Amino acid sequence: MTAHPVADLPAYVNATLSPRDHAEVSAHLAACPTCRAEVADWQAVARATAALGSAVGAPPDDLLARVEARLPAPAAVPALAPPAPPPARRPLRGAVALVRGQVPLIRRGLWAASSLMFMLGAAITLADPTLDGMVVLPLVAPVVAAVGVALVYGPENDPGLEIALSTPTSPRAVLLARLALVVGYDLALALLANALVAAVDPELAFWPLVSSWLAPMFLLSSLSLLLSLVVGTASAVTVTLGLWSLHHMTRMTWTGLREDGLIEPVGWAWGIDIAGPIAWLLAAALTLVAFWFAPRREVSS
Amino acid sequence: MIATMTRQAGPATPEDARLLARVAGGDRTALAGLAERYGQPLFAYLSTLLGDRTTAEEALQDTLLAVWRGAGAFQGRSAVSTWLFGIARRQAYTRLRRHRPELVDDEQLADMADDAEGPESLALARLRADALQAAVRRLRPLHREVLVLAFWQGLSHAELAEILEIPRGTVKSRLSKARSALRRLLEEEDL
Repeated sequence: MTAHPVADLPAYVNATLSPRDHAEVSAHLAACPTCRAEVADWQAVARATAALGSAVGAPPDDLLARVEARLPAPAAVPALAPPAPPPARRPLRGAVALVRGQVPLIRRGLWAASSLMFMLGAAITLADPTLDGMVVLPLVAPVVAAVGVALVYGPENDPGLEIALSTPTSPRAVLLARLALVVGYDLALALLANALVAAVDPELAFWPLVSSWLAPMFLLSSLSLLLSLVVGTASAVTVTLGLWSLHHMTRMTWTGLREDGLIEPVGWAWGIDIAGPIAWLLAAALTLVAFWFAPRREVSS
Repeated sequence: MIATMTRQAGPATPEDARLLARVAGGDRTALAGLAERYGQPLFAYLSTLLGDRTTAEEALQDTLLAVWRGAGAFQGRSAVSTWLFGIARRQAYTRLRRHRPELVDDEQLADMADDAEGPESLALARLRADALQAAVRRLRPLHREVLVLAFWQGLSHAELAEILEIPRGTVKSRLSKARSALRRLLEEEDL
């Protein structure tokens, strides 16, 4: 190379020349003190510039949060990255904070509606002595809990969900916290109504009454949860209510046939004892599938 | 004997394009992923170009917003990194024009041959590092940015040409003009 490769020297210094050009320039430099001085100059410029760049440091930690606050609400809830492990130092406090944080995010009407339904259930049972607590509570408790559960999760129920999901808290933890709230609330109400009915009606003992609605409540709720995650809240409510009504309609229709031994005993629906251990197993299985499905729900929506 | 510069942003990867595609689909975690990879290099570029951290923070925010809005328009003709720097650059120049229009809108001036330039006798390599840094800070934005992109970000002439939206030949001459301008600033100081 006879001409001085001056125009290539900056690229030589920042090592972005092709290997062939780099070798040519190196060969030239070995024989050319003028270009070596040029390279030394460019290196000085490079060092000064790089020092300026390094002095800047990192952007502020909250910069991304500031950007996210300015993003328009997306039409779809975004897909999720693998959840970061939650801060593990105080797991209990974290869990309490997570559950408390969900309270304002759950539809407010849900709390009042659930209480109203249980109060009505208890009132009807107490007002009409011909009605058996064993009939009314097992009818009311599962369906109230199931509808509540269907409203727990998903973008149609929570405009703030995508914000919750952009935090390191996993979608499963958010779902679990909300379920704990709604199911816990309904369970407390059902137990209260149960206690009230059992206290007034001398023929009814507390625990047998509980066992008449507890398993159906969890079974119907787990079904409702899974359906709400897979096909959406509206469909989940429709299907759950439909199944529940059908179950009770068949029971009512067949009541007259009970003496003939043609009717299934109370608590049986389509061959499953919905108040027995099979119901618990089924409820657990449905819940597990729902939890497995929860993060996918965000992708599909 | 020759120290080489390293890239701050790391090599562009297919992962970048995947992240950007997810951003186009409305995925905020993907935007966070891009910010994780490019936030620091973009911020360093913006800070040195704008000369002010606060303005650079605003420009970086607007850059990420523009990425969010424009991700769907990315066609893969350039690397994601170059595309990002291009967006950041437009954000920076919008701000520079607002404050110092006379220093910005003279692209031709920045690339013009300087007839008054004599033999480049001042050996920058012998100068004190802090004097050199101070002089880089005082360069006009067009000169400062080409140095920062080349020597802090470690970008190639092809990448510089894309980001600065000029032909490759102009990249070479602009680098050379930037260094001449640096020399002049330091010579003026000496007088």
